[in-house]
Amino acid sequence: MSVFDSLSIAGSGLVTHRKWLDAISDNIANINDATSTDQPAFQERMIQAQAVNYGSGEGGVAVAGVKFGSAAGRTVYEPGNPLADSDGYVKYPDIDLGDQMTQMIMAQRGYQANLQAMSAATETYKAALQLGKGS
Amino acid sequence: MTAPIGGIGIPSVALTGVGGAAGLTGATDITPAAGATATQGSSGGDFASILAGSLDQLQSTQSTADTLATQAATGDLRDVSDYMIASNEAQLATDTVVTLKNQAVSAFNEIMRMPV
Amino acid sequence: MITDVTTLALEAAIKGLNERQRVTADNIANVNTPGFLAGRTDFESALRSELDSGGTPTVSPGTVMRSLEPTNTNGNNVNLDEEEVISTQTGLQYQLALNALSSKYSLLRSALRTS
Repeated sequence: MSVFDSLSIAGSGLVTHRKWLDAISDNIANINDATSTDQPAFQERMIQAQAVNYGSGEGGVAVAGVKFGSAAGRTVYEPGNPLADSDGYVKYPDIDLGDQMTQMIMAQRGYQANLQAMSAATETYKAALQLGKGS
Repeated sequence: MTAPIGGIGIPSVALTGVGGAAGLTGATDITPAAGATATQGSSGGDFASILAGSLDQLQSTQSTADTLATQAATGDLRDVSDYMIASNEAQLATDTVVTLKNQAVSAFNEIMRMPV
Repeated sequence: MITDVTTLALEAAIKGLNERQRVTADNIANVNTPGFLAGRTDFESALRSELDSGGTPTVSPGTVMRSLEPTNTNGNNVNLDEEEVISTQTGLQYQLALNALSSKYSLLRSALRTS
């Protein structure tokens, strides 16, 4: 596959950005999970991206791991909630919707940029394959 | 392969392009192309040695193109344009050699047809 | 009739790339099938080792293996972006191999010309 390297590199960017989008959607879907105060709250999921073969200029990117946010969450006073403790507090995850929406826009733009890179590379390779023809 | 027409000295066409022009820096005096004034051409410029030289070049361009094609088949090729350039060079070299051979053969036949 | 190493290697590559294109299309069609593991083909390592050892490359497409990447919740592990990239690359490599093979044939043809 190393003949058409640029495509694999752009592809690794696509995969990483899609995993980022998956993590963000997961966070947003679980943003209102209530738990009782003696249990950990839903933790924000963050993707750790790392350059492959840093410095060689031709590795691309890979997901090195997943990090989780704080489990402490934020406590909210809701005495009517069936999960409330004796003082009436419930725990919610410590995720900021505005922050997640910003990240979502960044992930989407990154994905689109990688698609552009891939189609530019494809056009270049197609032109190279036409060398010498057309006479 | 020995050249049966080695005795014929045909004035060689200058294969070096417009010799004498001082590059692309705007030369003011452009001397005429070297081939226009030469009648004997450069040393070793007779037809047989041109043909032999082209055959040598053909062998090397074809083997370069073959090596790069094998690399393309196994996916080890670093740069697509390397292979495309090599294959075009091999094609041009083959065409050159074949054309020279055909011209040589037809010139020979022409001469053999001459009444003594 | 034509048995030099380069032609045989290119023919083996073309067969292998055809197989890969088919397997990739199969993967994309099964992107939502529960329990489906993505298929992967590899003809390059067999071809490379045969060429290195100096033998003549055989023209077999190789076997289809199943990818062992992590699956999502319904057991499916097809990654649509990866399949897209593999499909584009295979198409371009196929064109390159076809180009190479046809220029070998046209070299032979022009050597046979007599006028």
